[in-house]
Amino acid sequence: MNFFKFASLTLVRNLSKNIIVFIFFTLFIFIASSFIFTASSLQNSLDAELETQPDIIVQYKKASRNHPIDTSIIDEISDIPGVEKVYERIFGYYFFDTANKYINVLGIDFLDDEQEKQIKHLYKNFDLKSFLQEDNMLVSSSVKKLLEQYYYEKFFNFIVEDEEPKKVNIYGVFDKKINLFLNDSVIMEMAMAKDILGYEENEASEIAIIVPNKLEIDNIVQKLLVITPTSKIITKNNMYKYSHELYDYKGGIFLSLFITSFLGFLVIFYSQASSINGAGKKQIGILRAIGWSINDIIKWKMSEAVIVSFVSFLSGVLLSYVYIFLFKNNIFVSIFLGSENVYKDIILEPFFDINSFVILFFITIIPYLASTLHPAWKSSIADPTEAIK
Amino acid sequence: MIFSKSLVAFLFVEVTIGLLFIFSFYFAYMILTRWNFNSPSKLQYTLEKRDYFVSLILYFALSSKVVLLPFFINLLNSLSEKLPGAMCAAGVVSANEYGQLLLILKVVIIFVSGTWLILNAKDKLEVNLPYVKPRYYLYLILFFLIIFELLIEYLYFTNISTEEVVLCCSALYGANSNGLTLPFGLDIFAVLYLFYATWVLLFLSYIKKYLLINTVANIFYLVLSFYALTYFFSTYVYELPTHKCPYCLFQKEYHYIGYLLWGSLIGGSFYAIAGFVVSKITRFKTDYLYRNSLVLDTIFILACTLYVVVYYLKNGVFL
Repeated sequence: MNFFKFASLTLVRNLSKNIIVFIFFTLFIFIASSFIFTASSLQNSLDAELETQPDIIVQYKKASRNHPIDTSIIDEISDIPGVEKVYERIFGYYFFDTANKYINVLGIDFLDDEQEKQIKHLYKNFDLKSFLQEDNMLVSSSVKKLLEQYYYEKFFNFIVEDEEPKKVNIYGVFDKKINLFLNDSVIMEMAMAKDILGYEENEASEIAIIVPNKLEIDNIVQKLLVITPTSKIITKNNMYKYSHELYDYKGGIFLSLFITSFLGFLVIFYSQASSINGAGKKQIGILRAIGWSINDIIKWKMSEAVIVSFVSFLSGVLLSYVYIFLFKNNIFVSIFLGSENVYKDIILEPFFDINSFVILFFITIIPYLASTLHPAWKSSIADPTEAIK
Repeated sequence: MIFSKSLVAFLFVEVTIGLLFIFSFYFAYMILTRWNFNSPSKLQYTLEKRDYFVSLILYFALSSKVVLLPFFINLLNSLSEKLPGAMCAAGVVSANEYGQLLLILKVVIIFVSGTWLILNAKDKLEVNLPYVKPRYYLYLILFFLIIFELLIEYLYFTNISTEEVVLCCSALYGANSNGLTLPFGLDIFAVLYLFYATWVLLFLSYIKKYLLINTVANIFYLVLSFYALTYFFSTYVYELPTHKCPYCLFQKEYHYIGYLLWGSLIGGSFYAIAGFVVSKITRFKTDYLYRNSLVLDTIFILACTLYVVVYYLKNGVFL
């Protein structure tokens, strides 16, 4: 403990020299931990979103691309024992030509309890009756902003194949904070969405199935394969697995790049720690002369490194927490979500994932300390009589 | 090849430690071949200084390895999400032939480097550093272990297939497994009987200071504990008679109790073995190491027994 006190005093004494290492190290940790905060917060929101998803999804693929699925199989699926509810889902991107952006159109059956439940919390004082009376839609705040740029204040004209442009009124704006993944979306009545996206009456994007008993899911999947042998069946577990894999993969790539660049900086840290000026040498010489052993000098030098790395670690993590969760439009979100589309003012949900910080600790502090081992030893073995001369 | 954030970080730290060892190998080799304490030459003086560097690196490596071991277990548990069929680390470890070896190697490395550091501390207490030679022979073993471990790690992680189905723990250890079973055709109650008897032997040999017996008993205790924990005590932790697994203990559902159980068990054996080696090489007494060993072994046996007792008190029956 005495070494730590002494080390902190000597660090403050040589502030100008140590501050550079501190700033660089903090910057490195800031970048890495911003990335980790962003990734784990998005992952967490995605997990929460997946929680509300149906248990099984049936999609129809042609040449491994999504194709509209025929809704006539719904009745057949509902007859499978263990299935509580089957419903069609409509969604798809509408290309807003003038702005060169995609808008995610979601069709909802507002008279269906299950689907209405998902929407209800998005918009306060939602009056279903007045909403359904006209061609209305709910839009996200980012979409609202986008439309306003093109002077669509009250309504929007969707261009529909072989028809007049479809005029849909903007009924209200839903709170983006509640759902990050609806940021580029508009929500409307199902029939209208089918019309806009070019679906036939009996077509849907996918079919959702709710199974109350999770143990029956695998069994039901087998039976679904008999009904629709060519379609793709996705269970909730698959979705979790896929999303985790994706984020882990992106995180892993970033980490590999980070480590590569960090290695370069370690060389700088190493040479910075190795270069000891005359005064520093004298200091060590005097300490040796008054009875410090080689081990004591090493302990003192290592305590300095430990203090620098821990303080930088904490300040880097703290700074990135403030930046990621309190500032809008941080640049790290675009790494994950892409910046071309309507993703504009996103505020991430604060989420702290301990495992990620253990990783960060390992890839920054251990290599940093490793790079200071040799310099610490090197300075400790200098001949005291030479140093004082 | 399997890929994840934790894996990248883990391999990076392992390679860093490996590089440090390679870095210090030259110094260690010089000390081993040229050491002559009575020589007044400049070389001898340099070698003595280099000894500090090697011990610094080992100290650093051991502390990192000790922190890395739980992280490694956690990594294996998290990888089970990616492997079809795996429910916990058991499946991941058995994904190829290197997994078991790697785990054993990791524990052995911690044993050897820990022993080295205790020996080093004892050496520094003497005026003429008399234990340098044994220390550096031990270092040589450790060096090759570390390099071997890196190799095995590389082979292990590059040979995990994400497509092939691996076995889950109930297939490996459970009722219908045909792989691992109890040794010498013993039944579980014989193992339990031996397990408790060995602890009594440990206790008595500690009091009577029969160090050799204590060390041998500790090795027995480690082996018996593995079987007792996997096939008997773990079922009480999971509160399920068919769930037998040494790895699921590390999961959140069971309050990470595996870290305490395995930590105390491995720590207990380590202190006994280190105590024996140090007492053979040096003239110092190592009673305090045996005391630590007994304390940790006792924590292990108490924690295990407590699970059974609490289960019995709660439910009024045994599993």
